[in-house]
Amino acid sequence: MAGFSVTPGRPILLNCPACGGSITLRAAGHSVTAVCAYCGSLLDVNRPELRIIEQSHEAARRPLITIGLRARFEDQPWEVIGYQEKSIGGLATEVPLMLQTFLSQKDSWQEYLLFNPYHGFRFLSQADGHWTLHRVVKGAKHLPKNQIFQRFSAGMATVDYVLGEFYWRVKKGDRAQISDSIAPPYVLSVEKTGDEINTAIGTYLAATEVAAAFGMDRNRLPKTRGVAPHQPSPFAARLPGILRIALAALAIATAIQLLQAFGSDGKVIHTESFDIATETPELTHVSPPFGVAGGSANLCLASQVNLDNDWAELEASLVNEATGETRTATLGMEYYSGIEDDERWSEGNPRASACFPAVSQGMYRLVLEADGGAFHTGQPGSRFFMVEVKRDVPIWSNWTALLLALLPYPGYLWLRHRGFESARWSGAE
Amino acid sequence: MREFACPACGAPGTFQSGISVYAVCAYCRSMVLRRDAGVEAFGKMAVLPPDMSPLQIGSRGVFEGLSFALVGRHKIGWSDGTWNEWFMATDDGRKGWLAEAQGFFAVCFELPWVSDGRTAVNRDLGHWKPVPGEQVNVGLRLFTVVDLKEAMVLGGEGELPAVTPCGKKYRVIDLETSDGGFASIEPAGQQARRVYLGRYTEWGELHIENPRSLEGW
Repeated sequence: MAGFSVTPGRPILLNCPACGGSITLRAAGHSVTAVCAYCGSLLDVNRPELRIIEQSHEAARRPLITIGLRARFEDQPWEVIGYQEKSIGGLATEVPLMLQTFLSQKDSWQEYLLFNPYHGFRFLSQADGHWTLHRVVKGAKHLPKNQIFQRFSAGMATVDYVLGEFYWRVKKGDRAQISDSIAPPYVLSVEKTGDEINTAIGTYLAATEVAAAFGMDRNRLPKTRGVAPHQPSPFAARLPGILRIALAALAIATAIQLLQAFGSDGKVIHTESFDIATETPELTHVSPPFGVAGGSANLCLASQVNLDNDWAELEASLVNEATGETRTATLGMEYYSGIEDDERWSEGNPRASACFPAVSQGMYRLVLEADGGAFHTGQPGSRFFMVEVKRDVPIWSNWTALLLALLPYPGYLWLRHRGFESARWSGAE
Repeated sequence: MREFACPACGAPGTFQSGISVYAVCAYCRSMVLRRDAGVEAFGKMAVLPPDMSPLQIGSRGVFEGLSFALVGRHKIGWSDGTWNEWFMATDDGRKGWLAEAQGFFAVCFELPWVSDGRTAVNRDLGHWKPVPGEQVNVGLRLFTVVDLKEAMVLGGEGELPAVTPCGKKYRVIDLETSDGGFASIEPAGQQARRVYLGRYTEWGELHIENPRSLEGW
C-alpha cells in the first residue's frame, strides 16, 4: 500500500486505482469498502492491494454534513467517515425508478457513519429533518431500562447511494429487512441481511442538538417535517409537570376551603318575613335592628317568595346602625310554568341569595325595597317574602373558579398530546 | 519473564508470559520459537497493515478485577474484513484474548484443552454443520450461532501462545448470548482446536493504561 501514513491516528492517503484520485482512509483496519470521492468507484480496502469492486464515473454527491467533520455525542468526539442514502417501502428494484415514484410512497433517509477509535461506530440518521443517533448493541446491556417498545413498522430497506468508507461490504442496491419498535425517544431497529442480524438502539435528537454537536448553524440543517416515529411528544413531557402543579394548587385551595368551611358556622342570625298586598303595595320594608357578632366575616341573605308565572325582586340594603354605612345587593326571583304539548314545563327560581363580604360586628338593619310583576297589575292578592340572614357562610365559588381556571391548560396539553400521538401512529404499519 | 537474544539479528527480546511459545522479533520480525534450552528462529513474520487500534503491546488493563498486559497480537483476516486478537498475559495464567473487531471489544479465555470437543461444546465437532440461529451449549451456557467464517492469520507481533502459520485458513464459529456473552469455536477435524468463552466489553470497562497514542484523538 503506497503512501502509508506512519503516524498512528492520522488518516491514510491512498490513490484510487480507477482514476488516481486521492482517497482518505479514516478508519484503517476497520474499513472494508470505500468509495472514491472523485470517480465514485467502489473499492475493496480490506487488503493492502486495493481492488476495484465497481468502476464508476459519477461525480460524488455532497452530503449535508461533509465527510471528515467531527461532532461530539455521548461526551466523545466522532468523525464522519461514511454516508448512505437509504429508502424503504419502494417496489422491487426491477421496476424503473420513474414508475416507483408514481406507484408507491417511498420513505427515504440519510445515514452518516461515525467513528471513534476507542468507542467504535455510531450511525447518525436524518429523515424529514428528524435526527437519530444509533448504536449497534451486542446483548441487552445498552438497551434503555424499563421501556416497553411497541412495534412500529417493518420493510425492506435499500441502499440507494454510498460515499466514504464502511466497515462492511456495502454497495448500491444492497437490501436488508428492517423492523422498528419505538419507546420515544428510543427506536429499536432490527436489521437482517442474509444470516446476519444486527440490533441497534437509536435516540431521537433535536436538530439544535445535532447542530451544536457539529458546531454548525441550525439553519444549515433541514427543517423538520411531520412527526418522527420515536419523536418524544413535547406535550407529554410538559403534561406531568403541569398536572402536578395544578393538582398541588387545587389541593392547597381545597385544604384552605375545607378549613374555612369547618371553621364557619353559617348560622341563621335573623329572619325577616313580610306580606305585601298587590293592590296597594307598601314596597319598602325595614327590619328591626339585629346584632351581628364575631369579628369580621361574611353575611349572606337568602330570600324566597311565593310566585306563579311572575317575577319579584328585593333590593336589600344592609345599614350599620352606628355608622350609617350601607351596602346593597339585589335578590332577583322568578318562576314560570305551564303545559305545552302535554308536557309540564317550568323555569326560574323563586329563591335567591347574595352575600356581603367582611361585615364587622355591630347592630344592623335591613332595608328591603320590593318590586314585582304583580305590583303593577292592580289585581288583588299578596306576595309573601321571607329573608334569612346568615353569618359566616362558607363560600365555594372561589374554589370552583380556581378549578375551572386550572383545568383548561392541562386539558389543552392532553388534547395536543393526543393529536401528536395520532400523527405519530398514522405513519405506522 | 525470560529474556533472549534474537537468533537472527541479536536484538534483545523477552517472554513475559509463561505460556507463550513464540515471539516475533520487534526489530527483524523473525519468529523466535521458545525451547527448553534456548530459542530458535524459524522464518519471518509479515508486516502488519496499519490500523486505528487504540491498543499496543505494553498496554495494561483490568477486566472484572483481573489485571492483564497485552503481550502479543494476531491480525486475522476473513473475506469481509480483519480483526485483532490481543494476547493477554494475566496473573492467573489463563490464555486470555482481547478481540477487537468492527468497533467492538470482547474479552475471552481459551477453555483448557480437552481431547474431546464435546466436553465443552455439546456437538460432535467432526460432523457438526452449524447454521446461524442454532443454539449450542458452550461451557455451562446456551449460545446462539451468529456467524461462520473462514479466517486466516495475516500477521502477528509480540509473543504468542500458539504457532499459527500465516495464510493457513481455518474455520471460526462465532456465538453470542442475548446478554452480551461471546464464544468462538475453531473446529479442527474431530476436535475443537480452540474454544474461547467470554463476553463483549467496551473501552471504558477495560481501564486501559499505556494505550497506543493516536494523533488527533
